[in-house]
Amino acid sequence: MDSHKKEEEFKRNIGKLYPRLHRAMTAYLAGTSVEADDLLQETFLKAYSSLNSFKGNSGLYTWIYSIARNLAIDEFRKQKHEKLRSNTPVEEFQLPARPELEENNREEMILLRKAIARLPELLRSVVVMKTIDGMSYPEISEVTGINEQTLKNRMFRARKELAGILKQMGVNET
Amino acid sequence: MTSYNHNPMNREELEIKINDAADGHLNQAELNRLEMELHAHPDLMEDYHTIMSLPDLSGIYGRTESYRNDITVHQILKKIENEESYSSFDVLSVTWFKKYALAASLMILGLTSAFYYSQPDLMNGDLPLEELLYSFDEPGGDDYVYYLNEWIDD
Repeated sequence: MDSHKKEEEFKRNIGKLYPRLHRAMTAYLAGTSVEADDLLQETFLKAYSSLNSFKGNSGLYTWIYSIARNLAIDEFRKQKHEKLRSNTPVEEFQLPARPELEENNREEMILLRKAIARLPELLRSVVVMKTIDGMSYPEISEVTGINEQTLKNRMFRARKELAGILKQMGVNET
Repeated sequence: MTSYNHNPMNREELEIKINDAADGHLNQAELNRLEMELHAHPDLMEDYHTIMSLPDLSGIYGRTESYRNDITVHQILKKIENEESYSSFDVLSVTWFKKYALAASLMILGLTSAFYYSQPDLMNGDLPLEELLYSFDEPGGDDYVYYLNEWIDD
């Protein structure tokens, strides 16, 4: 595919890719000072300018996801964000008004969001990709460059740690 | 889905199997086999039960559609357009100039020389170019020798 066609196709796909990536990044960045909207704008611009490096060996979504994640990690480093995580105000985890959710469910969802946000980046990123974004292990492997066995092992550790955090928070497991 | 061999699994393999079970990738026979193996590792058995009873996290951030934002998408597309117009100017002024800088300088030199030699006044006129650039100074050496001879005679 020539570069002009590639650019046109990329521009057509932004509207389709944006909502899914926005949800995933909202989950990934929850409790941080990085805004998902700002990060996504930067991500798509960066992806567009480096479109020539996209060879189509991986999916377009996973390729853009890895750009977004790398930009976020750069931002975390800049802001030394990980040290500030515990100071994140509770309002960051509040849910928008959704009438279909009962009050108990809302509270539980907020606690679950907070629990994920307390995981270290290495584990949080895998949990978000797997459970919230619904990626397969081969897709997560494309994003992170880590082999599937290691990813599964990380996911085990993440689930174990998450269970511990939820226990501390007093959330009843199912 | 991963098949089991009959050798007992090590801890790392068991952890991966527990994760497979939590992902819903094991059938009942595989789950039974895993639980049997876990009897030899009580701590992993505890992890297995804890992990299997974790709440479902898939829906806690709502549906994808609720994250649609046409305004932001429009802004991104607009920024891309701006970038495109900037980059075309950029290409023209930097890349092309750089690429053809030598050719352009040679061409300018050639045109200037051609213009100079095509002007008859400049070629055959009273003032050659050297005289325009370096003004003619009369040599004073002869006068100096003359005065020196007079002084010796005196």
